[in-house]
Amino acid sequence: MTHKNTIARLRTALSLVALSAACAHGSITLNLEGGLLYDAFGDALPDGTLIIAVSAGVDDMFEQPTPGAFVVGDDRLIGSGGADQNVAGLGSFSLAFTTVELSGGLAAGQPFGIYWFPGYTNISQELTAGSSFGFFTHPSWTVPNDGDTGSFGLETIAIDGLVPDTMTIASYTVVPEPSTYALLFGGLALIGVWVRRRSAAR
Amino acid sequence: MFAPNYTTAVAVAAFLAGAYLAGATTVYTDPVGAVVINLPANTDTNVSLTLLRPAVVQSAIQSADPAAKSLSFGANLFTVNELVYAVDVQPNTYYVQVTSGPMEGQFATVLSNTANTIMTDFEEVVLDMVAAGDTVAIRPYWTLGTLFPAADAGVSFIASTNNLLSGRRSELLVPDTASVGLNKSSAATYFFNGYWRQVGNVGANQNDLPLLPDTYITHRSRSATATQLVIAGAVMTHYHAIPMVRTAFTANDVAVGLPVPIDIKLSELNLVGEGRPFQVSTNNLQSGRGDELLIYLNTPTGGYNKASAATYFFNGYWRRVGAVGDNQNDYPIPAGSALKVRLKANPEPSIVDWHARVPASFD
Repeated sequence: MTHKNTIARLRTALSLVALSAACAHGSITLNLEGGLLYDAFGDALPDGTLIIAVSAGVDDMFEQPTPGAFVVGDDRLIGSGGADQNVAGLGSFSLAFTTVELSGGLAAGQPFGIYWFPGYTNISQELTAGSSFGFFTHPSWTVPNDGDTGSFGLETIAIDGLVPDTMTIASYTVVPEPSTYALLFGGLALIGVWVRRRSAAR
Repeated sequence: MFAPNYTTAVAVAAFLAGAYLAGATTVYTDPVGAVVINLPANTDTNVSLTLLRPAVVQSAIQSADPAAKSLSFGANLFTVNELVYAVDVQPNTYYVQVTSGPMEGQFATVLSNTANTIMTDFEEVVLDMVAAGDTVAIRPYWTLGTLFPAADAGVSFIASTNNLLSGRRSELLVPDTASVGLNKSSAATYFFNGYWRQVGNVGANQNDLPLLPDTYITHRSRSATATQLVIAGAVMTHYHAIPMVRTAFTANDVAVGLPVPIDIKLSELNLVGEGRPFQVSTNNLQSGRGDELLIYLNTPTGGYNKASAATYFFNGYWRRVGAVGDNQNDYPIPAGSALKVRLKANPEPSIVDWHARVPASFD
């Protein structure tokens, strides 16, 4: 029962032995919301379609998923979730990655982005060559400081946002050879310019 | 722009606590009052639950059964399971708190009830120390929907215009009380769009989500409109036990919002002393530092994710980092402030309760 879980106290949930073994760090909470995300054919993602948030790691470069690996190299998985039409219609999402530990290469200030994988619902699935995926990031999307709660939105024009609908199509393909995301970064820079112009125009 | 502050008006009036349950016998009455909290625009404001929701029962128990985790009364006070939460039928989640005896302040959720007995999630070791004649109070937890009811949209909070960040106006951030570590981020974020919803799970109605009585929530205004929250309720007249969890390998921040509706001096916190949880420092340097108390103030206004206003520690008397020579015993913590008790790691982990209460000077 949700309500019971909410009020469960640490003292009743964990033994002292467990507490002694606990390895704890500072944490962040990342709220990611938006839509609409599409598959490679321009159809809105059905509910449950896998969406992951990934930090670019210490090199600030996003690396392309490869067969068998949703997250590659020094990129770090922040969390995963699914599309949920309750948010703003089919293809929308609301993800709350709470109390994410800043450890294992994940650090404040790193760029992060989201990937979505049509046809996948769980990160434990095997990612296969030829699968399509989408990617989005923004210059303002950086991992929050220790203890902070950050909220970030990706909202397309289709739901009265600013991001062109064409940018949220899963237009990339999983290939065996890992490659960097120079193309995506080019797109990222364009997004930044475009958003600033839109903001200024308003 | 409002400056966030508390205005406390307490009327020492008899509160008819038994009126909510058929057959309940009221033994005690509570002083009741109201607290006004300004929630400035575009600002994080911490809100502590300084007043309690009215008790439905305040009575002595006839017996405690540690194995069954139950408490029994000498009269039939309830109809069966009327204290059990039920969606759209019974919106309250109740807790029982021991209000006298050696376990005063301990509380636990009521899981079910018969006519004269309540089943709880108390630990056996607590009920081992509860005896016939000890008094308890049964109250509902504050919930999102009772603290910020839908009817108060535009007054205490601003409703969101959709389920996305762009449409968000008022958010409520609930601190993490379940894990251990430092600088823990919020455990969940809620917003109101028709009803209270949770980021990451926007479809479910969270109006009935219970809030712990000894922590705080953060109202995050994403709006240019300031609002004002009025909390009306009962003044706590007994101790409240807050578990301080000390682990072996890492320091731990415990988020606390005292159920105290008035300013409270550091020396009145009841944190330091034999059998109390706060580890004193051995000198005024970081090397000799024991536990620390971080205080978060709601002033100045503006901004999110605010840092603590000051850090205090105890070495002979309460001292403030940055001005360690001054005796801060009489520093009055503003009512409703968010606190973090930063417990230093210790090879011998422990859970020691902090017994907090409204200062004796309160009348």
